Amino acid sequence: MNGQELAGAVSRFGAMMLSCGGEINRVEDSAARICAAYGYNDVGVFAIPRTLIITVTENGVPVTRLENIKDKTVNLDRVARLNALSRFICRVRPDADCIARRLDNIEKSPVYGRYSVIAAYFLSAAAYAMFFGGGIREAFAAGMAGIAVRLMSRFSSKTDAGVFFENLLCAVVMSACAMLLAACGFAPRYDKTIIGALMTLVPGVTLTNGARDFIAGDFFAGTYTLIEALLTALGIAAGAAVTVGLLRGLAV
Amino acid sequence: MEITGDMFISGGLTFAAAIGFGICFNIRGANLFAASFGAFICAFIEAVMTEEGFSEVFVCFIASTAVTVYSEILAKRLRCPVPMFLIVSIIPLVPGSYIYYAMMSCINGDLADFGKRSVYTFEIAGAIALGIFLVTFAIKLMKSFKKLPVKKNR
Repeated sequence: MNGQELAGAVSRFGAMMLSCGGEINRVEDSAARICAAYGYNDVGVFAIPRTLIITVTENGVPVTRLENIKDKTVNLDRVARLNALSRFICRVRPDADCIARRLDNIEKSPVYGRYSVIAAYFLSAAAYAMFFGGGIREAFAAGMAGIAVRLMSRFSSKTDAGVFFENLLCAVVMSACAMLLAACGFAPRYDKTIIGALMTLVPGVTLTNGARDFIAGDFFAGTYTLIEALLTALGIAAGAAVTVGLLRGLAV
Repeated sequence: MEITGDMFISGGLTFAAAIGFGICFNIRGANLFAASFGAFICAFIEAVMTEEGFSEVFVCFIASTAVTVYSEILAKRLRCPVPMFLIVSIIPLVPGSYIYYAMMSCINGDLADFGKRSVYTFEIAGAIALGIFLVTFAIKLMKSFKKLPVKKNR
């Protein structure tokens, strides 16, 4: 495999890993390992959550690829598959076509259907509403609010408004749903409903990955990721605060 | 110490919620259940230690440490990345209710309470992160010990 092909394959690999929620350190590490497996030791890799730059130097001539990651969907199964692929590449050293085929396969790997995900949001929100002390009615209301979050987040991720406003929108819809269900007397303890549905929005992935980036010594990516977590939390809080403040009169 | 049914109920509820999160993050097959069981452990430890009267920040730290150990072991056994198990397991600790109550005292104009709860939220987030830090660091340490040149006795 020549430097051109290697840079292309590795940048595609890294971009896929970043877009499905792999940690920065994992991406940089596997990219460097793959290059080393093919005997290219003069390699530079730089990754931040939405950009990947890789330079492979072959006979003194550098080849650089830059990938921008537009949309990010957490898909941990895909991270695991890519991780296994990187081990495979390092062990077997296949040619560029084989890597491309395997990456195609991973891109086509199964994801849960739309309705399963909606049901999953319902389940998480309902279970957390009960976990935080709500009754069965609050659990059901939280589940409905969770479904609202899912429908809204699909829309808001298309708006490109940034994490703060995307989560704010979701939180507004979620709490409006909870307040309406409280207003019609179905689930009067709206705080439990909102907390349950809010748990589907909390930045668990970013918090965990940010902490792991920090421990790996990548403070830049860690800071970026933790700021994202902070903005998400602020967006949720602001959205819920505005809605609850406005609609509190309804639900007495 | 007394183990009550409530502890299993809260564990079971977080298990169910974790299944939901796992589906959202596209964790498949046996990994989904393995990861969700981490959430069960997490909530169970949290419930037991809260019952024993430990402070919540400390409880979060211990639970997050335990769950990180669990995830690291699973990741090694099932040859999967650690976050696959860690993310789902740690969600019960994320201070969602504190964010909510902080925001409620903010719109009620109770600044003192808002400050207190916000600081508390950050304390808990810090405790979670510290738990992850500690375990990951310990594992790095063990790995680097293995790499040290060992004198062979002939």
